[in-house]
Amino acid sequence: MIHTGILEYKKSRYFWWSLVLIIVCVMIYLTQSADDPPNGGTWQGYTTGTIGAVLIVWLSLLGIRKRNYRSRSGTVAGWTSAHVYLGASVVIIATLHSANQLGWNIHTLSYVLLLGVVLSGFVGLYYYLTLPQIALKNRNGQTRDSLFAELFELDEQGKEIATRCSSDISLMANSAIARTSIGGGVLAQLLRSDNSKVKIEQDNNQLLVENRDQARVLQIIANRIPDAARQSEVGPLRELLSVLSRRQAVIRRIVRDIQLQGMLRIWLYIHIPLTVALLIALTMHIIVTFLYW
Amino acid sequence: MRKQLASIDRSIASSVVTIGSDPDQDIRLGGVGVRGNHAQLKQGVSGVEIMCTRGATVSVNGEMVNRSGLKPGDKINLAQNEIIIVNAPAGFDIALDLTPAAMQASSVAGAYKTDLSQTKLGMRKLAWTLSITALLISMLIPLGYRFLTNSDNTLANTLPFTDSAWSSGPLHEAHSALENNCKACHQKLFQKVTNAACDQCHSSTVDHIAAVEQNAHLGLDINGRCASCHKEHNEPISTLVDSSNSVCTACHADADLIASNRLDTTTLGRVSEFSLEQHPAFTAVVLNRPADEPIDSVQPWQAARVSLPSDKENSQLKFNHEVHLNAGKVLDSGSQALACGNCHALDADGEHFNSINYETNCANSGCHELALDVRNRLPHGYPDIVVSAVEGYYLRKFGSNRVTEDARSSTQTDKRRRFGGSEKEECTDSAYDCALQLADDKIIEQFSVKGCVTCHIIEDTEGESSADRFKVGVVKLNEDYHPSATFDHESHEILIEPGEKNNIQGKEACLYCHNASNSSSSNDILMPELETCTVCHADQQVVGTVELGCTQCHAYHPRRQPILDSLGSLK
Repeated sequence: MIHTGILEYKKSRYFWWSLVLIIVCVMIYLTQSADDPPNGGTWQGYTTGTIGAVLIVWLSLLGIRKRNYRSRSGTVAGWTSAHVYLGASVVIIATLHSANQLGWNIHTLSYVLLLGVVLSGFVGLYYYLTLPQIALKNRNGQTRDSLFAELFELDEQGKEIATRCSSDISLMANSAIARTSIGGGVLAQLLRSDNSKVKIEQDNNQLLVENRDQARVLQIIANRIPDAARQSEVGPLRELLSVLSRRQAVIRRIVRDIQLQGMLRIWLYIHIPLTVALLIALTMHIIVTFLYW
Repeated sequence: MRKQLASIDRSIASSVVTIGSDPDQDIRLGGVGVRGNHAQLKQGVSGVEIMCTRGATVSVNGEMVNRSGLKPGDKINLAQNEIIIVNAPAGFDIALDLTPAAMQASSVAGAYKTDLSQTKLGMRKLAWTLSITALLISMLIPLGYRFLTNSDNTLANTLPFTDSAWSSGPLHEAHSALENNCKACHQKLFQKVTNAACDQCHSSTVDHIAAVEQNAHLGLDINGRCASCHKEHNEPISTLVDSSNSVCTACHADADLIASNRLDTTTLGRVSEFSLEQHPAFTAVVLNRPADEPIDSVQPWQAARVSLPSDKENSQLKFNHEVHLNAGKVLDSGSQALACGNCHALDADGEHFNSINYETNCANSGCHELALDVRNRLPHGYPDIVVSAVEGYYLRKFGSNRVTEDARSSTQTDKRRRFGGSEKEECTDSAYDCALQLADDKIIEQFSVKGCVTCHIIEDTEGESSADRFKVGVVKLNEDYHPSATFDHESHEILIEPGEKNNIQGKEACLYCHNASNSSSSNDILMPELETCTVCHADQQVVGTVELGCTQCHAYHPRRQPILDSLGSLK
């Protein structure tokens, strides 16, 4: 898997590359004299700026490389490892290029966008390093599909058992299965907000009530067991309770898995648009430098 | 409105029936492509109709529509679900026969949105928004401002900001009024700021090379751009002037430039740093009386560059520094040895010294008053009047018949200038003639033995009349041996040699550089040589030394134009 060993790829080869690059840039920076104070316009500034710009373009190409599986130019793992280390070093190189001359101008805009890109990249890296293990543990050796298959199986069982229960229980169990909420919108996926509903009969009226985490339906069935009108109803109720409880556990795993997979991708929704904006702003930054030379 | 859902005998009493995948929809349908709230059934103009939310469609009788009226027999398909409109029983507005999609184990997941890619969240939309915003902020609006202000267009003022968004940093405070006037300097796009732009205000600034005539053939391309040294937008850390040595050595150490004779090394030695090896020996500029002019000519003197310390100068003043600094020979009125400052008073600029003149520095000291007696002094600076004054003095004193023995023998009043010989013959002529004779003797004595001649160069024309006989040389004291260099005397009043603990102050500090105490002739040029400076100064700061950059002594833009003009003819 890609996420294991990104940082240790080939004995952290790209960490050392980045470190050397940073040291070279720092030394270039230090050759600037006080007479012409460090800034982006000295030859040193142009040099670190060019290195930074080339790196940014190259790092952006990673996105294209990752989608091109037929490419033979290095492995995806290698590119990703280089992307992480060199991406982090760009912040230092860009800072040296700017010589901390920041202000409310379009040059600083590029710098801020770069910080946003790298910061979101760090978030992504952190997720890549931590979440897959958690996801693996959560799925307990299963795949998403096998979890859904299990859910389907439990749904069918639940519906079958419901036919043996009283009509109100049957209606409730069927509606709880049909109106189970899994995933949904962005926030629902990431925050695991549960919009599940269940239809219950109350005073001859059918009411649609919330059924978060399938708690309501389980509670009602559990409460019905001691109050069962006939002894013969207790058996199916117990069976139903057992199936719906197992169903609850499976849904929890699925919802958690959706959340983890979502977190593994959500940072990209910031990282990539910011990168595109950065490339635009960077191009403008370079043009403007020579526009008002 | 009441509707009946057929076949599983459900009835819904509501004005609107919602259809979708959300758990709270009246009719909940699963399947790929079913939105949370996909459509509604509601009463339209001609009966019940189905209305999808924006952008969503359903198939009604095989046709994909967003909205459609419904009549019994119509078939609605959404994902794998099928709804057939059947005849509504009495009391119901509409009746539906719903066949939900048959659930397979493999299609369960498809009934839910389980991936971010299935949500409204999109990278493209955000990327476009951010990119267009970045483009507007960084290019389109500033560029718009730039072009709109070209044609007195008031529309420019409606823009949220100006092309100053392109500024990479604040300007030097001297230029701060131009902060929002980019075009003042950036006159054309993609063109480096031109010297012409600077000249709009700085037209009187003297150029580096054009100022020196013999280098004029180098042209302004060598003078370079103002902006190559004056770099803006670096505030607040910059001083607006790049005074690094490389600015100078780029030309003055360039072997190619020197080899091609584009840099005149006859007057400008190659220099790559301030050191004994890499900096040319100091030269000095002295003033010379025009060669074919007499010693008392009032024509302007000419400047000449000479070598140190071998070359001499001739100011036409005789002065012995050694004697004046010798406490055994000369003391001031307080019986103290003379200090340099007794004569050389530092000017307010801290570099130059007040002009030496007779009245201030020679006469007022009480030493050289040119007194004939307590009441009579010879006028300094006017040789012809001196002659008249001496004659007048003796005529007043002895021009009667009462010529005393005293008068006949000598001029006792001027003891320091009394005649060496005492063999003088006694005058036996009339008192008037004797007085004139005494005056004549005195005049000759002043101009050729002791008196004027002590300090001045005097030419004896051997003329008849004593009034016309002597020509006194004009004195021109050089006031700046290094007219195009600067030096701060004030900061050199206290010296400490590298590695020494004791400092050198006062007179000793002066004499450390100016070897006056060993100079018995005013023809000596008492300016220090390069090695005097390199004792304490080096190009780069090394322990114990003081770093000295080119511009600390040499001004790039010559400031003392009149003197340099006079140097124009130097070779």
